[in-house]
Amino acid sequence: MKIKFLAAATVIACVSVSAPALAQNKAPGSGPNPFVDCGIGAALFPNTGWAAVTSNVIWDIGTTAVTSATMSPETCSGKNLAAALFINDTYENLAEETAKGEGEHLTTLLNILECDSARHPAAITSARASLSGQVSAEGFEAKSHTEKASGLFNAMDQAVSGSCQA
Amino acid sequence: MRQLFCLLSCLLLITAQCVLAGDQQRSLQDLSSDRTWLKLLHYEPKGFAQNRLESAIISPEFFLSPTGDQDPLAELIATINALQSAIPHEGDTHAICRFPARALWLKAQMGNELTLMTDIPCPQLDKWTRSNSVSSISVIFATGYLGNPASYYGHTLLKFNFKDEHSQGSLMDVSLNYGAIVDGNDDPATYILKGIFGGYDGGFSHINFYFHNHNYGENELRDMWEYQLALPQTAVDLITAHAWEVLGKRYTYYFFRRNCAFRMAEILDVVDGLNIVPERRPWTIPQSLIQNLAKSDFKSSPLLADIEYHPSRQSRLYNKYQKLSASEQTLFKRLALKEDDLTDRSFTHSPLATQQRVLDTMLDYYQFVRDLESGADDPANLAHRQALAIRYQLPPGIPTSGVAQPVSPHSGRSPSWFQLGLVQNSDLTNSLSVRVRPAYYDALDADHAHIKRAGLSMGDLRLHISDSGIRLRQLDIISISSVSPGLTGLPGDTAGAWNLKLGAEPLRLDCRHCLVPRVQADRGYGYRLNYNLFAAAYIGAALQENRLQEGHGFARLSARLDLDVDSLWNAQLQVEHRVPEPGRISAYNTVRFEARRRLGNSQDLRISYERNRGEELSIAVGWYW
Repeated sequence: MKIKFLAAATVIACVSVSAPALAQNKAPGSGPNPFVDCGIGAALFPNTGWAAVTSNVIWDIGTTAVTSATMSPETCSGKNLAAALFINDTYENLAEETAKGEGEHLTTLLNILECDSARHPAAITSARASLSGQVSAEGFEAKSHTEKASGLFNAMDQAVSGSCQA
Repeated sequence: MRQLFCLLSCLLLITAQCVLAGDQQRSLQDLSSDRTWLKLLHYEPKGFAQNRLESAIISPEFFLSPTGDQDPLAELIATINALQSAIPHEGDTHAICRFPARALWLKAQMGNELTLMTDIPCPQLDKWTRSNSVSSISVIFATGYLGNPASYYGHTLLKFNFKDEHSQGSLMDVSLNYGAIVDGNDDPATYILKGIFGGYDGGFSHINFYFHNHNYGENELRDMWEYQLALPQTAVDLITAHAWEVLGKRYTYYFFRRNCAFRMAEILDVVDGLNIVPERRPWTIPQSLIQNLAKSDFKSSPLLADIEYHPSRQSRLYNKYQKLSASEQTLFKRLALKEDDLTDRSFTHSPLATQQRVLDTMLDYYQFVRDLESGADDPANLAHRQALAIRYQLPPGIPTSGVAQPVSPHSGRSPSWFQLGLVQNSDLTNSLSVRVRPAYYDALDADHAHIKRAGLSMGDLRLHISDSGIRLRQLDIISISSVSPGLTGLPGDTAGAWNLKLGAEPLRLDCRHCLVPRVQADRGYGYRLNYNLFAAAYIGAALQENRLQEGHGFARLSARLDLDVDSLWNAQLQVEHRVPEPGRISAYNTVRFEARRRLGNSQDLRISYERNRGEELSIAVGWYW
């Protein structure tokens, strides 16, 4: 894609999710959607200015893009948040790799959602079916990035829920 | 007698304690001047005589002693005391949590003389290191990008790799990035000046690697190279701990020397036996750092363990396109140009593998050219969606896997260039030519780490020495020649080209003292005539000092022809038609031809001919350093 300001990424980058997700009591793949409930992708883009897109500029490490006012901390933390942030930043690669049935981003997302590697093929098959319906819908290209990312999250969440439980 | 014995014993005991204390103090003095301690605190020589030390870190919270930024011994003593403090601390505020690298190193040096509070919890540190499970460290090099001055020379990151149960994949590994802390409100000129002269603070930030992988690969279309280092676990632990120590701390950012590559290398150099910061240079070029890594050993073994290529979206597009058969390329172009449709027999009756390959190439193409934020307003978004929808309907699988890996930047030539030659001028005396180009490349010597057929140079100085003395022939303060590859030739992937140059040049070649300051710019398009022949045409203009009645500038039409003869020889022909401002001299033409022969990886031979009202012929040998 053509060069564009990384306003969203600048904001999202503030949230450090470098550690594996905290253990949750819920089964893999269940839970609300962080895009809907935690403000990810909302219009929180700061005025970064043209210089902010350069790689020599560090990202603001003092702020957060996540609000959890409406939902429980479980929704806006842990693996769901990590997965949502990953989807938000790498949506294009995820959508394409899911269509192809394989790829590094796809595998990583399933790992974030704690799907055992032996169950990845089943989860991918389920996700492909769901996303195929989304992408084929008329007007999909007009949807916002957040809407698309949220849709992918739901597809993955359901796929993991249905295919990755022990 | 007993009293005398007691007195003597006491005297001996006191004396012994003094001696021990003296030994310990000398030992602390030695520790405080140890290379590793100085590196951990980032002390640098300061002052006119470079005879005092001052830390490069300007954040007060990095120091435990009030004078710690300038007194290594005071900081050492304060650190030892803090590490041994049993006073309860909230969160990660105990010294052992804030300065784990200092703790590691001091424990190794002092043994039982240092009692660490090992039962102090450090939850944030444990979370960041995933319970101290970093298994290896990589240096990431993002290739240069001519769209932003700060990115011309590329960029380096550190990546902390995890494995087994602590890993969710390489994309989730932790990356460490050093850069300027910019408030985003500065105009470009202010940004450049502040970046060069220390107007910004610098600092490290951390994020999962996927963020940078996406930023560089998808947004900036830059390839990345990952150089995994062969380091023992103790070294990995020390570097990881030190990275934690400097996170969030501030330095003064300098674009040329103490930049991302320099500061990143400093983090690695805390390990005794590693010394990869390029020395004896007023600048640090990221590619030089990578080349240093490749040449370095650690404890008699090569420092590099593995190299992995992370191609950009653009590279993946070109790779897929080149792997298509001739008929598949034709089909791909017809679909991209809407001459055929994905529902046509030409596509639907193709073999499955062909459909998958063509669709995957289309997805890369549309992703490369589309404007996501335009939504339905950009036809490429609809085209991408349609191609993606068909791809979902096909059986899964990737028929042609892998990306051809180009030659790694670490094996390229050195970035600086010195040239010595002979010049014959048609109207003036013959001369010896001396040329120094601190950085970086031109269209004839662009190699693995550079953009093919492009040019980027700063401080390119040319002198002519003759019986008449030393004369400045030309100075390019900055010269950029950008060419997009335009491999497919499809809309959005044409060989757009532009030039920008600021410096001093001779008005004409038949005068001795006619150097003028000049700024010039051109815009145009290129075309690949075949694999070895490239042509471009431009329209542009220049502004200059008015001398010899030649006016304040000119407009111009120009063209270039690049020829790759073989792996050793290449050449470039440039012609210009200049139209000075009205009322001055008549329009005139200039010609420049240059041929280059590579002499190994560190030398070249160049023959050039130039005509601008006078003529100049030169032959010169160059050395890369």
